[in-house]
Amino acid sequence: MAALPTGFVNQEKLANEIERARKKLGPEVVRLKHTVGPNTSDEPAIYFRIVLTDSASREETLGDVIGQISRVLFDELHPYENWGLKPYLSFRSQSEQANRDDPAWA
Amino acid sequence: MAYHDDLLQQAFDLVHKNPENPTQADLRRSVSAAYYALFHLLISETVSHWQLDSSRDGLARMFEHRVMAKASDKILDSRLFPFTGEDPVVVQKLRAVAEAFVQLQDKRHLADYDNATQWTHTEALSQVTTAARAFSAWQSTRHETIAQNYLVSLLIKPRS
Repeated sequence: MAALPTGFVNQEKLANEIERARKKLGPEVVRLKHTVGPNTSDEPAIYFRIVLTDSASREETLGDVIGQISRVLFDELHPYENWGLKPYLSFRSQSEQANRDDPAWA
Repeated sequence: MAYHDDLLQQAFDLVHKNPENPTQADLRRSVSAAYYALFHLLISETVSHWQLDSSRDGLARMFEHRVMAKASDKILDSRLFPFTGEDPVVVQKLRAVAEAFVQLQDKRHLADYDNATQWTHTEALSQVTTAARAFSAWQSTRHETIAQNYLVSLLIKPRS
């Protein structure tokens, strides 16, 4: 995959905006990490890795939880309009993450 | 059931198969099936407007993944599609469908080809759930003009 040009995104400013958005998410979000890079079509993208509480990860609640998180991130960050980035979200439960040595999510 | 409904059910069956100790094959195929469920739903909805039944399968072959993703990207960008004057609830639901399509296409690519990515049950389930939510959102917006315009846009290649 092609790398994004250096300076394409002001990473510090983006991180600050994400932290601001993070504060609007509920307690079901244990951790929120992100990476900027090309998607599978080599277009600029932002990948969010979100660790949820185990209770929020249950199937009965998961749909509403990811819908709310998605709305907050879209409404607060406007990734297409403000950053030229396509957003992608991935979710793990807290117990799944605890059983994995995966620094990208830690 | 329609093919897209079968695919969504297959996605759930695979992700539910062994939630305590799922195989990567089941998780990855569930994500792939979830994407194709939405892909075929949107195609089915579009070609259903073609009056001659015998031509619909041929028309369905005209759809291209990347063109559909580009069309979906566009309506997620409020600068390109502000949807001024439209019901915000309808707009939000239509954007949820487009967002799911873009999201699932990328995840499908990873699921089908990237052996370095290890999926968890929640990661796969969240993608399948995203597809199911898109189905639901589509059902409540499918007759709206902006939704019909979206279907047409899925067939239109950007001019280079």
